[in-house]
Amino acid sequence: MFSRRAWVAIFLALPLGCQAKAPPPLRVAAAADLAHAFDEIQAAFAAKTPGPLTLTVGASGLLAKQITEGAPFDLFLAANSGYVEQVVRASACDGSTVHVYARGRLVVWTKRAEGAPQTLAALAEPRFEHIAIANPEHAPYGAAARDALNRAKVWSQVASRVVYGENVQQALELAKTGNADAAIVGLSLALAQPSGSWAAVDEALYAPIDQSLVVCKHGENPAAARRLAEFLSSPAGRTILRKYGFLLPGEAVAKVP
Amino acid sequence: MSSELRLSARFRGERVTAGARFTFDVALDLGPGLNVLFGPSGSGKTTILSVLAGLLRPTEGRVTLAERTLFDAALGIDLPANARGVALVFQSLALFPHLDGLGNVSYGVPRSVPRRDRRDRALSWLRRMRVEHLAKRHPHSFSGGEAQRVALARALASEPAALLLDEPFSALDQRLAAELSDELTRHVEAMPLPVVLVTHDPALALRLGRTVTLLEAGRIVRVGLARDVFESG
Amino acid sequence: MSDLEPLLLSCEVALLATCISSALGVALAGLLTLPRLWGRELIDAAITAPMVLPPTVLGYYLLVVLGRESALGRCFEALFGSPIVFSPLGAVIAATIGALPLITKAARAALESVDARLVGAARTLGAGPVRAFVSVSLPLARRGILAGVMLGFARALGDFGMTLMVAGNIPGRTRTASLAIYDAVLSGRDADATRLSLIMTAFAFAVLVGAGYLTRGRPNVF
Repeated sequence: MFSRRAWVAIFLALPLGCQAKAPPPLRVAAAADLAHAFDEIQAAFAAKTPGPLTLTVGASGLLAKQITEGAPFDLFLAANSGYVEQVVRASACDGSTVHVYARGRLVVWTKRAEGAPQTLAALAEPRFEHIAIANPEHAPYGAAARDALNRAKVWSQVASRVVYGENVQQALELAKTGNADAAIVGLSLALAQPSGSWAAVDEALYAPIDQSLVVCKHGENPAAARRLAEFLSSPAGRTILRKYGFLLPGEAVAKVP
Repeated sequence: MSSELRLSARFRGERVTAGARFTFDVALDLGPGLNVLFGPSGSGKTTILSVLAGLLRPTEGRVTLAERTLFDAALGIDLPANARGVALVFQSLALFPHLDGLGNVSYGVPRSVPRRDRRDRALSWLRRMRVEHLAKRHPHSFSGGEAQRVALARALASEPAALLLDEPFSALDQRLAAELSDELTRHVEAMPLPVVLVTHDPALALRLGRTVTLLEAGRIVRVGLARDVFESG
Repeated sequence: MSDLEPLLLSCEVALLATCISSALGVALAGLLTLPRLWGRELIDAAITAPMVLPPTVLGYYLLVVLGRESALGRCFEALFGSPIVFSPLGAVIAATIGALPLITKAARAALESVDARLVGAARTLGAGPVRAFVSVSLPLARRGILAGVMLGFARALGDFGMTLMVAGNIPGRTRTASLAIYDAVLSGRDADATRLSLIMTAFAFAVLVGAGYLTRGRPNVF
């Protein structure tokens, strides 16, 4: 009985070992809010530079840690610049390729088709029993949301009503499912929602969130990574990014809420 | 001529068993043939057998079998149970439920016997105990007497230098007990090894043993001829 | 989106992890049932710890112990050319650590319920401790051990936190089914997430029902 089990284990393990033989794809690690945009980015990029491309989305902090530990990603698109600096300092990525691809915009999102609070002060109203933000400890948008609430002098009034999501997605989920009455998330995420309404938060209320990208060394396709980075700063790439809410300073939102 | 196969033990120890605390102080010197260890239930008979077999370790003492020292607290000798050559038939018989009759008896056959011959040896023991029909059957289907015989066959198949039997016939009716005890006596007469049989049944003790060792609360109280021990006790 | 790839990977990882943790778990359980063992409950606690520690904590420890900066990680990379972390092997290690406590606990309970007199009888018949363990204790504890193994398999199949940290979420390489579900949720692909979740649930259910049948007593047999 034991030897039969061992053979089964060996046969099933063979494919695990064989995976290395196929040509390695271009591996992109990106902050979660890029997931929606990436389908279109990938399609447009593949038209010029065909080749397999894989996307791994997740918390920027975790991805940064993994990249410094040698995770085989070629291109890293973080939710802020701090994590990119971290991987460059750890010599896991090439500092000369750092490039800001967007400046994050905070918005307040609600499930209802209209009535999104136009100012943060409006969140102090009793109808907002729960307000969801991403965890300020490690999510840049969460930290920015808290800063904005502070500077708008609303934090003390709403602090007890704030609920934390692991990341902006979760914060949005809380609002989508009605467990929270409003969520403070990034513009790109709000644009991706088919329903609900949003209103921009005054940019003066929070420190700029510069979302940067960098080409990394532990991947297997650095040349393709550079081309993708170039594409993202090209007019074609910028058009797509703008459409999904990734704006550079001075750019305007393409859609009207 | 080799020296007689004697089983000697002298040990002391404490044990808490079935709620009673015992202080053991035992001195045994048993020769080949049937030696009866008699005592009421709870006088520590099973504990003594466990010590002889190597399943329990007393705090001080010495156990020897022929010229071999099986245990010596002072010298730090403690042969593991599988190295002593002492076979023990438990009161519960402890037949392996997952093996058939043949499997059980083969388990005891010494590893030095080549694999092919082990089966035959086991079968011949089953035959000698008149239970060869149980070779392919499992213990849960054995009757009391059948189980007793298989357990005995298994112990004997290990070719022990000493055989210990813990209340061997206590679960059987009078007639069967008498029958099996007579068989046992016949088998033992043919073997030169010391056999220690523990019982609380005076009738059995009288029937089996010539010498009886009387045990009470962990202490040897008397050793003598069965007739004498029971007449005056 | 191909469901098959992550499901197949999950199965392979879980099977390997179960094999390793079964062998280890039964051996450890045997160790824990030794009559004279110093620090028995300490060892048991150490083995059980992964069940109560948050997966992220475990994942962090694993990353520190097996990462490219660690002694173990460097040794491995020097020998095999690629790191342990962010590879299927990392996923197997994470799943093994998740399954091990379950199997060890079940095996220990099963082994302890074997009548000690049977083991004693085996010893007096000439069997050393290892032979007595393998030929008497293990077969009699078989059903309980097998139930533990099935639980371990279900656990290995579902590991997430540790796998995410140590193996990463690399499509085609270490993206197991649990990670694929996480990915689908993060990317807003709810239909994919639901579908994969249902498949995994059905599978885990089947495994647990099987384990239940195994532990139910069957009258005629010992």
